[in-house]
Amino acid sequence: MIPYDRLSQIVPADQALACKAISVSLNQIAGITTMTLPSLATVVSGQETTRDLPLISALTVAVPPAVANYFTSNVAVGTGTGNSIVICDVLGTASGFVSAPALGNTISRFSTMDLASLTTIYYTMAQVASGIWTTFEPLSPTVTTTTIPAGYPAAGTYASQDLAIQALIPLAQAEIADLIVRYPTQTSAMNTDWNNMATQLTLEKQLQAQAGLNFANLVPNSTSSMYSFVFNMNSYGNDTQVGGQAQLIEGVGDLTTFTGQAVIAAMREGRNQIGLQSVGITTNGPIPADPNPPPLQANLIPSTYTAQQAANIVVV
Amino acid sequence: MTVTYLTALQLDAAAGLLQNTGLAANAALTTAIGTYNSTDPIGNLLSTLANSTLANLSNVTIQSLESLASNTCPALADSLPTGYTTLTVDTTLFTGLLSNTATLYMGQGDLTKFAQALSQAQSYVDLTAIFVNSAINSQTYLGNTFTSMNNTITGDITTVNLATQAFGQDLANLGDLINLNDLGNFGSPLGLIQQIYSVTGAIPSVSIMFVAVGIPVNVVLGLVDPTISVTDSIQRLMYTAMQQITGNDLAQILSVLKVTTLGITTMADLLNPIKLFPNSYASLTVPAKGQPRPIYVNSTASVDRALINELPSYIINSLA
Repeated sequence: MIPYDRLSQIVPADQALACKAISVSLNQIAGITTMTLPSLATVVSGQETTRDLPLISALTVAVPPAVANYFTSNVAVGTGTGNSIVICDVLGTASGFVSAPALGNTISRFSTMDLASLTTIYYTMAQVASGIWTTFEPLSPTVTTTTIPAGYPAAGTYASQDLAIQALIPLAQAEIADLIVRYPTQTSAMNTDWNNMATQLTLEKQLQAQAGLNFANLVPNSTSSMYSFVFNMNSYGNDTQVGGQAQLIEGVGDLTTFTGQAVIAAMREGRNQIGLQSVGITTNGPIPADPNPPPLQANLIPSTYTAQQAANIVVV
Repeated sequence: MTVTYLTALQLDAAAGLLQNTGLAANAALTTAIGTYNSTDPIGNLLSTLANSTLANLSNVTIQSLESLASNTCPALADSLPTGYTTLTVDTTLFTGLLSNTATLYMGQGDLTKFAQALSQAQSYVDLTAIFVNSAINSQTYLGNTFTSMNNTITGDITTVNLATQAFGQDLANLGDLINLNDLGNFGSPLGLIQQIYSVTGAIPSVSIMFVAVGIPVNVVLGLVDPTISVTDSIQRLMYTAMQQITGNDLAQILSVLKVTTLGITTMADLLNPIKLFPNSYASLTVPAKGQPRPIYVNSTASVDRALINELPSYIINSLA
């Protein structure tokens, strides 16, 4: 490469400076060193610009922050990396995503709380609703009397089961308020878990709507859909991110069945394939799909000439 | 036809899946719901609601039971936490909603519906991932190298010249004149000679003129070597000789290089950008400190001398 200070001693200085500037500019074009001038000329002539699009021409960044923010605020509502959406954000409840551990936590926390009073109130409600404490007026069967026996919450006589239950509801509310005071750690943690479950369900509904997924519109007994699912099982296995396809399908795999275990094994096979293929190791996994024995071929109308026929056709 | 195959495990799974076995709502979730619903308080509450019709409970009472503790501690009444307005529960309460939802997703006994839902959902996930990841990466992927949308969509061709059609025509007229793999020597007599010789070999009329202006014969003969280097003083002599190559000798060179540019009167003109780019030199630009800068400042075809301070120092100074 000849720099300007030398070139300007060989050709006129302005000309030298212009040539150096042009060479710098042309070198901005990626891959230019492997092009020929005619091919570059053809490409340059065909390039379109942002002429008469002043708002685009005025951009000082490729994607304005406001544009990026739109997507990160409105589309990136999932739980994946960068709040991207993962499959469990759409269908996760089926696989126990969020809900299974949350409910498990709730059951554990119940065991650390004295719920006897609340149980008694609910039990009383159940007894009332069952009708065992309700009597009917002999002369007017539509008229009932419900009596909660002494010793039970809200003991007394009510004109209907409905009124008896209504008398019990405030007692349940009060008992729950008391439990919140007595067990702040447990109740707070349970509230977090239940809100997480509700949030998950809400997110699923929202994303299903955006995806145009309406369960009422799915085609019953769509065998081809299941064939596609089976063909994709290997690749499903390779989406191992939290909330990804592998986690979803493992979550719904019925491991008590041969089929369920085969599904999980097929996903593991898919993960193995990536590693094996990367170093050129082949497996016996693929089953030949060609018919065996080969199908008989149909007798089609003859489409070739015999030597004699060809000779007869040739014009000398 | 696309070649495809099944593995043994896929085939093993397929038979059962087509008979709606092998996949089901999460076992841990199902167990947890069952366990929670059989706890003493919750079991009785669910029993109450299960008998709500038999007990002729009013809608108000049913709704009160369904929303019990929803704003305090919903786990103690299996209620839907407040604020989730798109969700509704029935007398099976919140865990019923969870159970029904999981069953719905799994196709309610028809696993092909689950397969359809998964496919549709995954398509959406894949699409949105592209948008989200692109939006995030868009704020960093270029660093501070973005110059303009024109340069972005033209692969930086507009970095050189915004008048793409005129510039392209000028380039086309230049045939094989410029070796794009040797742009560092663009504008130098040696670079030009090497390009000519790479296309056609030595041209006698050029060699004769070089000798005539005082270039040693051994140097002239050595110019066919593409790796040769010559002193700047020799190049100066070559330029002097090129200024004298005109007429038929020049026409031969232009023919060899397929140059059809008008206005080339001496071989030395093949080193002058104004002569090379007659239709587009005025809009030639160079990126200087991040901004496009015109190479020629006005219609008088004066080169912007400030470029000496704007171009990279190694381009300007041999001692850099």
